Amino acid sequence: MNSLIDEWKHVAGSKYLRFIFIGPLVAAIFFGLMFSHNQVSESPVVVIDEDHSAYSRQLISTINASQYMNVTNVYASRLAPEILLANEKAVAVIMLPKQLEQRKQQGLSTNIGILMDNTIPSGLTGIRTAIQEIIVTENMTLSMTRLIQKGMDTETFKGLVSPLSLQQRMLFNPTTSYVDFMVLGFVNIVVLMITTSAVGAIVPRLRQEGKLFANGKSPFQIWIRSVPYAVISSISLFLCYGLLKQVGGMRFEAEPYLFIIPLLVYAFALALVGLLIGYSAKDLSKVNSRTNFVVYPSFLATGIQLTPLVFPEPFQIFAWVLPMNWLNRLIRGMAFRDGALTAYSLEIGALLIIIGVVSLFIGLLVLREAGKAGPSREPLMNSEDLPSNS
Amino acid sequence: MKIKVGFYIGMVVVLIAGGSLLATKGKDAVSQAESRKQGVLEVEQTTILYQDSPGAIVKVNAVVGDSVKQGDVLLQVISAEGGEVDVFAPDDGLINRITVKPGDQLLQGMPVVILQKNTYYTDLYIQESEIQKLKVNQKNVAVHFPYLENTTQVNGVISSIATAPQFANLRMSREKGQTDLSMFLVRISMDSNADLLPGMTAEVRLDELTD
Repeated sequence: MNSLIDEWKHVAGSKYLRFIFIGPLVAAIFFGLMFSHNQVSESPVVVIDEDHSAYSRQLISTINASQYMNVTNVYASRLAPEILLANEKAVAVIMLPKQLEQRKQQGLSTNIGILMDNTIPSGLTGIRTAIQEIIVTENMTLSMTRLIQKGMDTETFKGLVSPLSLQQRMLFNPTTSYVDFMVLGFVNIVVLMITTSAVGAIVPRLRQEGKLFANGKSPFQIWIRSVPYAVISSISLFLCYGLLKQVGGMRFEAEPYLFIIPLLVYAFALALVGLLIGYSAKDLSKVNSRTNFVVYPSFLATGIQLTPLVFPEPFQIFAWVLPMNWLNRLIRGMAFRDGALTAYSLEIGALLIIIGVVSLFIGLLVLREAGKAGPSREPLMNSEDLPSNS
Repeated sequence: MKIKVGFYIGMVVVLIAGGSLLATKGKDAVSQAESRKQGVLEVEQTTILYQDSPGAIVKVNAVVGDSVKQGDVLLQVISAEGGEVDVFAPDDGLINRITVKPGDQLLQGMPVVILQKNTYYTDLYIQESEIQKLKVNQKNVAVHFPYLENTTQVNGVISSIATAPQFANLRMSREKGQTDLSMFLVRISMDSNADLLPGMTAEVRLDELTD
């Protein structure tokens, strides 16, 4: 009984008591807000209107009015769907063919095409239902009007009952193969976990060994230590993608020698984020728990399982600071949609900004610690650095 | 020490500035493709109808794929009244389809041959802001065929520019971007070519044109 009382007393004063109440509460509020939308509404779609008629415009308005779709752009001439979908500005392309209005007036049936980007399958559920609904309603309206005008005649009825028919095509991952999103996502997450905790351990390890400023107090000396990790991690990712392509049938359209460029930039950004996270950790065991702050959001918000469109805008913007958000966009863009490297300057630019900002913070932390450490700990061999410690 | 820190800060600034430039000024796939206008390669076809009194075909002088000149005899026909009433090619062109064979009885108004003219054309929709690059009768407009294995290129001539009906007056909302602009329908015609078939996607790159 004494031991029970003893433990109660211990619990009463421990961190556990605070965390067990605050942690779940924060999670409930955070995830409650994050998943507050439940479904994707107003998914961006683009329309290629080759008909340029009053009827095609009316149809575009109907599509835009649907709560599941938002027509972001209308193009007058045809463009390859790979190009329109390359940068995730739209999730589907709707194609209205020539002579749509003319054929409608003649009572002939016309095919309307919808090409959907299936690289994140969860983003399409709303659109597929919505476009079906629109076509069915449109067909009913058209046929009923005609029938009233012409009188109920079975012969007329035949040709008019479905003036529009829908041709659906799922692009890039037509069979919704799990290898192309879940498996790939898990591979990326594993690499992310291992890399961030390994790079995060650099500074605590050096500090324990007393070698933090062994090569001078410039932040560059610590910054440069992340390079081997970045190189090895990107090689590992590259091998995994190759394996998934050969064995798992993953789609990989990009030229490997071109894809290695964004992959290296990503791995470097990731390594530096790890370095920053682990910088102030007291010992190696603390580093691992800190990496969770990168691992969980990366898993949730970067389109591995759920499309980022399902989250409220602030959460989508929050994902911008995660290097993996940009890696996944690059993989979906270059490897699945066969986009050219030049079309992804935004993604590569974002990774460079992450590298820059993280380097800035690392630099400030190093300089602060170097200032505190004072000249006394300075190794004698770097005597030229000694006078400039201010 | 100061130099090294300065170098480090310089590197950080370059990284952030370079990244921001790439992210804001870089062109995505759609903007890169904006100056490339695509249309479908089309061809004018004429259906030749038999226009004389009923008769029987004696000989068919052409096969599908033949190129014929205006006035060539396509079908030799003997009319039921005894006279020879042949069917001539009304234009230069390529035989696309022959719907009859020797021995067939012809009635007035029956379609016999589909003749494809020697010029192809494609219709492109061009925005108001870009239309000044194009003039009627402008020659040497390079027409590309982006989805063909060997990159064929043909020179075309702009045969007409017209305001696109329905589109030109659409200024209702700013929401949909490009539809708000007045569009012009530009027809580019080019000589037919053995490598090309009607229905292929033709592309004109506006940035290649010099005013």
